[in-house]
Amino acid sequence: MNARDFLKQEHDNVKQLLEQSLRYEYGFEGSQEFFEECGTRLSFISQWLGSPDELVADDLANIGYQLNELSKLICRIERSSLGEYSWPFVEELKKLATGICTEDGLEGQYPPKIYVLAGGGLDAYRIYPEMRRPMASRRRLLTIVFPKTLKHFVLLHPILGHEIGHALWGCTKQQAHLVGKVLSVLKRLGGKFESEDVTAVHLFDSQAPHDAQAALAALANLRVDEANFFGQWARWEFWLDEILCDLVGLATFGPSFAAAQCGLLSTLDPAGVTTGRMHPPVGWRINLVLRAAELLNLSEPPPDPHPLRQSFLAFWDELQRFRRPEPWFNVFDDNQIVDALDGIFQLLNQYPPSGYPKTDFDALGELVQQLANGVPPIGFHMSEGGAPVCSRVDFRHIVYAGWISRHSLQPHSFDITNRLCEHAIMQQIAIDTAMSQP
Amino acid sequence: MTGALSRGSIIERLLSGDLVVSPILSEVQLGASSVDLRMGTVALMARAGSQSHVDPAAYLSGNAHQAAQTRQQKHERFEVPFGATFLLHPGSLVLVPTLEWVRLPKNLQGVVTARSSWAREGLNIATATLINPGYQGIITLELANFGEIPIRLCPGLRIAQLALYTLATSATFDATLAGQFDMSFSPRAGNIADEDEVFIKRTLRAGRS
Repeated sequence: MNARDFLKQEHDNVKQLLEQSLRYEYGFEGSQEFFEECGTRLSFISQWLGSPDELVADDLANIGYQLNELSKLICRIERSSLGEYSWPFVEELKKLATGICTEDGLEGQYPPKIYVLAGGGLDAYRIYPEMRRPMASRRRLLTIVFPKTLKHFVLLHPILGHEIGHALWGCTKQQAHLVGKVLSVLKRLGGKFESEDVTAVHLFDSQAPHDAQAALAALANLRVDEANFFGQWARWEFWLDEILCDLVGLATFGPSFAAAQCGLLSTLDPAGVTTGRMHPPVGWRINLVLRAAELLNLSEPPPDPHPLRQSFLAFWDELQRFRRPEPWFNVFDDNQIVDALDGIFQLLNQYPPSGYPKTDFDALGELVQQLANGVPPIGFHMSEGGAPVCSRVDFRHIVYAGWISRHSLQPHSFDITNRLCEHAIMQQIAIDTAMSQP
Repeated sequence: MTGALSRGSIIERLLSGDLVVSPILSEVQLGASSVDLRMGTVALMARAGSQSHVDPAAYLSGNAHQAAQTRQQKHERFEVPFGATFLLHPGSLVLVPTLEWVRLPKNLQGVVTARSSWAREGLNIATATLINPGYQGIITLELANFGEIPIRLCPGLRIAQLALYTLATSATFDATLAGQFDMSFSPRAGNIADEDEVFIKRTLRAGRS
């Protein structure tokens, strides 16, 4: 069997696999769009394979790659079929991701097709952007993965803001901006990410905390040291990507991203000093995000007196406890952080509502008050005259209210707070729908 | 003073925060002596093929695996977001939540009924219609199609109404009286064996057929 015949067979196999995937229900939107997109791609491949022309090695490799990716995606979707997940959050997340990840094509604009999966483990949060579009006339597939155990925990879902960063990075259209306006700032001369060597020197600094030095010393068993750290062990470019994506997460979700990131990352790496191949130490990332939040004035409290002030301050105080005090954990200066955030907001602001909208303390206070009363926090109240009054509320403020309410006098359990906020996001969609009527 | 709450009294209670029905999307939801309730975004339907009959014995705690399996496989859950529809066939029963979050004070009892316009189409809304004082959460509506043709439903429709009655004295409320559905976020199956195990076990010992 030659390569072309084998690929024809594999095409038929993938087509069958796609059809078999319809044995299950996949969440509230079903799988029609995804099914049709994959079907269209398969028929292109079928025509390509069936053409009378000779196929060169590049063509065969390309077809093989596309079939392989489709097969992996369909299997992953079938394995992680969902009956229930936080679709109200996903519906809002899609609005953020669709604008910034829309690409130009032959016949206009091509928004991504977004698909939701469940995965196991706390670190399952992912957005997988298709690394390359199969052809200029096709849309890119984005698959969003939630940890199955955290399906209703909308307070933690803002961590997906980081993954939006990866999706942005995968967009050819946005990459140039990110390289020119953000990465160049992070790599600025004199900074600790000026080059691989400079970062390695900082990493192995004798002034580094003992637990960090111990973690690095353990790598010596693998013959990894300062000189070859970024060649043999870690990928410096990927570390930078992670840092960039953290800033994108903060710029899209605001304080809730900082809170979710501090909580989740500190759970996965409590000491914050582990150096991953693709990830810089968690402590570097947490210190960066908390400083960036300060520089964006997100932690600026309401005026005194204000009913929200006490729980607001308690929320930010708790976040500060995640910050490591040693200078080794601070890898960017304030100018770099401000300029990098500027670069990110320049991009996000072109695609509303991607950028995090600043908070109105009074409106936020009302949401927190509703939560304190055990009611989902939404834009609804009764006027003094006895008429129902509805208003628009950004879902990120609902989530932020959830975090702040954790510091009210009688907070609900974390589970109940999440469920109330999730319910609120669903109700708010109903309010927005009702208000959009002429 | 006991009796049904009028529109004015309902609004008064809503304004004081004593009673919560949230959100009320339009003034038309406030009737002369009731509040209209909208359909929420989940539908829970019994899987006809997975069981021969409803058996209280299957809920007994003695066989944890069987009880859990019965619970997990009893219903098919459908997410029905705004803009989507759900077809209720004649003779079918489906559990749906209200869009509204409801909280009753200790001196009010709620009664849920169908809106008459829907009832005339054959839609029966609730058989277990009482909402206990002190309850908070969504209200689960037990929808059944008594007509002869399927009914298309979509979230956001006003399908039920909640009437409120004051009690002669406030209910003494503690956790043991909260009921198994208090603080519900979506419909779920109940436990029909709850606190009645002695009768079910006696039936089993007698060799029920």
